[in-house]
Amino acid sequence: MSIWARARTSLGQELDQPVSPSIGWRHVIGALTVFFFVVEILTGILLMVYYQPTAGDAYDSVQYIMSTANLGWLVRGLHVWAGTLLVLFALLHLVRVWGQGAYRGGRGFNWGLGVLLLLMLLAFGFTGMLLPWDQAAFWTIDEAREAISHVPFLGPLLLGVLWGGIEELGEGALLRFYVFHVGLLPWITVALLGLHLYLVGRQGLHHPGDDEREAGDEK
Amino acid sequence: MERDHSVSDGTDHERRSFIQRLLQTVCGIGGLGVLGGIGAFLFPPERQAFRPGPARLHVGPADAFDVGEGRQVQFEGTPVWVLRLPSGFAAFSAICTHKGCIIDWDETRRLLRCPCHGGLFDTHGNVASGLPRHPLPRIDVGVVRGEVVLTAEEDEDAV
Repeated sequence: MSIWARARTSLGQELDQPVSPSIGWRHVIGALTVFFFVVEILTGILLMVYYQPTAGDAYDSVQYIMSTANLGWLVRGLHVWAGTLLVLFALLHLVRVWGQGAYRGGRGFNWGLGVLLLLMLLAFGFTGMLLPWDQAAFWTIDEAREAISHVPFLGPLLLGVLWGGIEELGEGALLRFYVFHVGLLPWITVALLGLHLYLVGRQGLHHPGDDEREAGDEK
Repeated sequence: MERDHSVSDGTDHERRSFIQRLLQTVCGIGGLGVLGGIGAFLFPPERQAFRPGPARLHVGPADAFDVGEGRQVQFEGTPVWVLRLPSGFAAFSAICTHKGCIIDWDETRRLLRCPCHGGLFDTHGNVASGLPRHPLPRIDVGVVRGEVVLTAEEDEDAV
């Protein structure tokens, strides 16, 4: 059997798997979160074609994307909105897992991974905030710098890593935020997400009915 | 009964394969649309590529200029005077450095004169008299294959 045919049959088998009646629309939230993440990666790569992470050109290159590049407004709009929805759906996913007690039954580690992934998403949002390099971006991140500088003990260290040891928000910080946003965080997040999904496949979906049995076992 | 069953089985099957094919077609068209959009995004619009190099403007054939003649042209969104002087071509921004009026070329006196406050600039762009305190910005001009061509400074946009 060729690889194609094998992939086809195994995918068909997977799609034809009967699903427990307790698995409903609420379980789609996690998949939508992954979908939005894929949209972020694709549109993000496209934006990198025109975006320039320098103090002189960052704003102009974003304006170029929005007004001149073909469909640039759409690509950037998708990136912004999918990013917002990504965080929203990750939170909904967290609420769903928590509400159904789906972190039980040896899934504690995967719950922890999920929380880490949420922190990664917030880090994406934080570093991406600065990149348009407009007034809102500048002063929001400058405010964050003020806040971080008051973190006891760790504050100066964090500022050194994120701001490049420079007191003011400038070219060095912009480049670092860009590097974190497109160079470092994606790899970490993809690795964590891969492990997260692998564990979901391996441990199986949690059925709400399991709770009673587990509760019974504990008693 | 048996016949009914087989018929309903057939339609069911047809419906299923029809919906599957419909879904595949819609996904295919959608996928092509997304690919087309990505292609459109990657190809920069013509003549407006980011960092296209210095902007140029062909003013016209050099021999169409009489010595002492000046022509005002729009270049990079600002008015520019292109002057044919005995020493060759020169081009200056036509915006007075005093209050931003558009200056005139006085062909007989060979001076650039501002109509607002009477400022005068000589053919080097320097202030000859009046209220302006800074010389007129000079624009690169040259003759390429008999054509007078203005060239923007490369780093003008980057600032």
